[in-house]
Formats: sequence, structure tokens, C-alpha cells
Amino acid sequence: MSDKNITRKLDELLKHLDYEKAPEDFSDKVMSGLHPYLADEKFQYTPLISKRAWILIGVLLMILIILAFVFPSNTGTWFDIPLDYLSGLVEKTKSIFKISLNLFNNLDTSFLFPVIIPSFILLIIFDRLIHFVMKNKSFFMI
Amino acid sequence: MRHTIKMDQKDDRYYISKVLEGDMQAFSYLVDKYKDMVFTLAFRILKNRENAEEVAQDSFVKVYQNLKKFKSKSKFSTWLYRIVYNTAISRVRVKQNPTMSIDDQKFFEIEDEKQNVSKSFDIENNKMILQRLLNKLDESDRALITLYYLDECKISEIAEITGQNNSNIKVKLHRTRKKMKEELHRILKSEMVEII
Repeated sequence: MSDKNITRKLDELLKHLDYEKAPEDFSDKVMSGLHPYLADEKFQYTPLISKRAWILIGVLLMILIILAFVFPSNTGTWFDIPLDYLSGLVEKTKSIFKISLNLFNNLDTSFLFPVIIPSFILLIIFDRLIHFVMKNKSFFMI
Repeated sequence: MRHTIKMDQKDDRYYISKVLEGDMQAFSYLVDKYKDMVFTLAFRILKNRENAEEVAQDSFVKVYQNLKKFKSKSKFSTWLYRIVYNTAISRVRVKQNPTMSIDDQKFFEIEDEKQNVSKSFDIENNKMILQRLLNKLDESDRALITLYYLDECKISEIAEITGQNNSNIKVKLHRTRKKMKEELHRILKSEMVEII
């Protein structure tokens, strides 16, 4: 048999190359094999405060700090203005309800920054901690 | 079937986006669409139905897990077949001597001498001869023939699937055809002897 005929015969044979049929329940098995991954996705941790919100909070805090340094008060901190207003409100409340509340009269506002900034940092640490625990929940469940 | 596999790429992209949105029915559609080709490719490489089924299933799970990484630079089928090819080849390397079921042995190891080749022009016999030719090839050559002749993949696509360059694939394809022709020549010669 000549090479040409062999080639022709081979081409003819290759036309009979066909698909092997996958088992009937193949798709079901694949889909059920995906269930563990689907379960993982369902319990994925999504932070309560989004990244965008954190950025916004950060920017606001920076503005607050800058304002405090740009407009310093002779009598105290920048926060004295709203606190004076609050003191007025307290006085009014006292006169209405006749309750004794001296808290805002003698309030030292210098502690506000040392409180706000660590609180903010603690909030971030807490958020990251939750994220870590949720990510490694299988480890913590044992 | 061939037409079904060669469906529009846009169609695949639509279903992929649906899967990424969490629509599992869309993934089920992709599995149904490609399951036969995926199974065929795995079977041609592994020569064992059970192993081929496992590899095909694993491949679809890998596809699902990595679907976010698919950038649509190539066809979805090319990306899918690459995963199947790599998974099956790794399996072959792990199991140097894969065990075959009796049915698979019958399918792949047809005794040359006992074959009745006088009816070789019948379709069934042609299929059997083809199977014998494939059986003489190694797993990567069988995959090459399957991708080129069955799924009608382009040389560049096969190169992407197998991780080789275009010229390598062309040379391999030429050599594989040559091997098959030599084996076919031997079969037809024995047929002639039998008739005489």
C-alpha cells in the first residue's frame, strides 16, 4: 500500500474519533463536590464597617486634628466650644429636672484626644481580630 | 456534539459572569457543555474510566475555585483543557502503572493477531483500528490527537494547553501521525497476509 493511500486511510480513521460519554451522574457529582466550597462562601466574613467608611473616618479625624492645631483656644482645647454649649444644656436640664449633675461644669477636655485616638486604634485592632477569627474559624472551633 | 462544543465564546463569558455572581445553575450549564470533552481528554491520557472520571471532576472543582483568575485572554475551553491536561498528566506521573478495569483493558489492548481485520472498512472496525493506533501512542500524543482531530483545536491553542510552543506541537503532530501511519501499515499488511 502506497504512502498516499495510508495517509488517506489514516485521515478516514481519524474522522471516526469520537467523544467518550461521561457517566450519567457526572454533573450531579461535580455539583455535589462543590458544596464544601459553597458552604465556605456562605460564611465569609464581611466587615461591619467597609474600607471606604474607614477611610472616611480617618479623613474626618485628620481634619479634626488639623482644626484643633490651626484654631487653638486660649482657655482650653477646641472642644470647649461645644462643651460650653453642652454645659448650658445641662444647666437647663438641671433647672427643669432639678437634678445634681456637675460633670460638665468641671470637665477637663484635654483628655479627649488621648481617648479618641487610642479608641480609634483599638477599634481597628478589634475589627482585624474579628476578621482573623472568622478566617480561621475551623482552628478556633476545635 | 462537535458543534455544541464549538459554541460561541460570548456564551461562555456570559455564564462565567453569572457563576461569579453566585449563580450555580450557570456553572452546571458549563459542566454539562464540556463534560464529554473533559472526560474524553482525561480518558485518553489515563486509559482508565474511574481515574478519568476523578480527574474530570477534580478539574471542574479547580475551575470553579479559580474562575476569578480566568481573564478571558484565551478561550474558556483552552483554559479548561489546560487544567484537565495538567491534572491528568500529574496523575499519570504519580501512578506510573495505572490499574485498568477489565472493560478498559479490552478497549485499549486489542490483541493484534486475534483481530478480524477483514472488515476493517466497517465503521465499528475502523473505530477499533483507530483505538489500536491510539494505544500505540504515549499519553501526551493521545491528548494531542484528541485535541487536534476531535475538538479541532488550533495549534496555538494546543500549545497553550500543553505548555509547549507552536513549532514543538507541529513537530509532535507530524511525528505522531508518522507513528500512526507505520502502525496502520503494519495492520493492513497483516490483513493482506490473512486474506491470501
